[in-house]
Amino acid sequence: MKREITLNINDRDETLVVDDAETLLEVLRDRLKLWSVRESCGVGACGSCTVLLDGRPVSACLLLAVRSTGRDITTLEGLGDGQLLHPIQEAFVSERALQCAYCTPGFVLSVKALLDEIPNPSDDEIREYLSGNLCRCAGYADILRAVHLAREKISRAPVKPE
Amino acid sequence: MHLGLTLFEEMVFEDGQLVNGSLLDYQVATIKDMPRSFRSVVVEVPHADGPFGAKGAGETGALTVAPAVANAIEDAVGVRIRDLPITPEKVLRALAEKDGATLPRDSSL
Repeated sequence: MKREITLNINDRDETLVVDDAETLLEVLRDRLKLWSVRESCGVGACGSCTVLLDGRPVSACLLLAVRSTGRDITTLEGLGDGQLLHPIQEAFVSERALQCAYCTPGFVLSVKALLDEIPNPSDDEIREYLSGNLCRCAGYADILRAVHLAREKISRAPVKPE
Repeated sequence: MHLGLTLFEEMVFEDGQLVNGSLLDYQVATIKDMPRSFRSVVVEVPHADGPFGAKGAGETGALTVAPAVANAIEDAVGVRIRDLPITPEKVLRALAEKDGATLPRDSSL
């Protein structure tokens, strides 16, 4: 069945008609052209399609769009301000924490949720939190360094409250 | 880094059918599998046919991970695993065979 829903995505309301069976991933990518949200495994095992739902990381491939109404949805596009990169993105760039970069949007959003929840995470906490995001180029060492750098950047200059 | 192929990654076929063809069943390395620390040593040898002696630098180095792990296992428990991935089950079988015992075969190996 098709129905009209309103989704709050990156602080903007988007009203559109979706099928009940459409996943949030399909709506974000195919309808709203938010290309940072990427499909890889399609079964919630890889973390490529990670988005934030009320600040918590979820796999958009496992979530129906009609179940996502009334929640704050954040994709990578909502992280920077359009001009400046978010400190986490800056950290990924300066630590070169990407190779092919397919997994990067998912990682960046998971790191955002991690640092919001645990501002000063230990190495073990970072590993535990990010173990749901797969990187096939295995750039994990660089990603770990990027998380530590992002943590420093954020603690030095706190981002404005959201 | 080749760690996944060394320790986890294997396409399993049963009756000609791939039975672990998704990321739920085919295990790749996660950030939790990364060693606490590792050091890269670059040995610079000019390549005669490359521009200014250059050659590819990326995946060539990956070849060293599997022998390093196999050597470490042999050094630690005295068995040599000669096929990848080096799973706990293979090490257990090799240890049993070394003691003259044989573990029952299971089609899921």
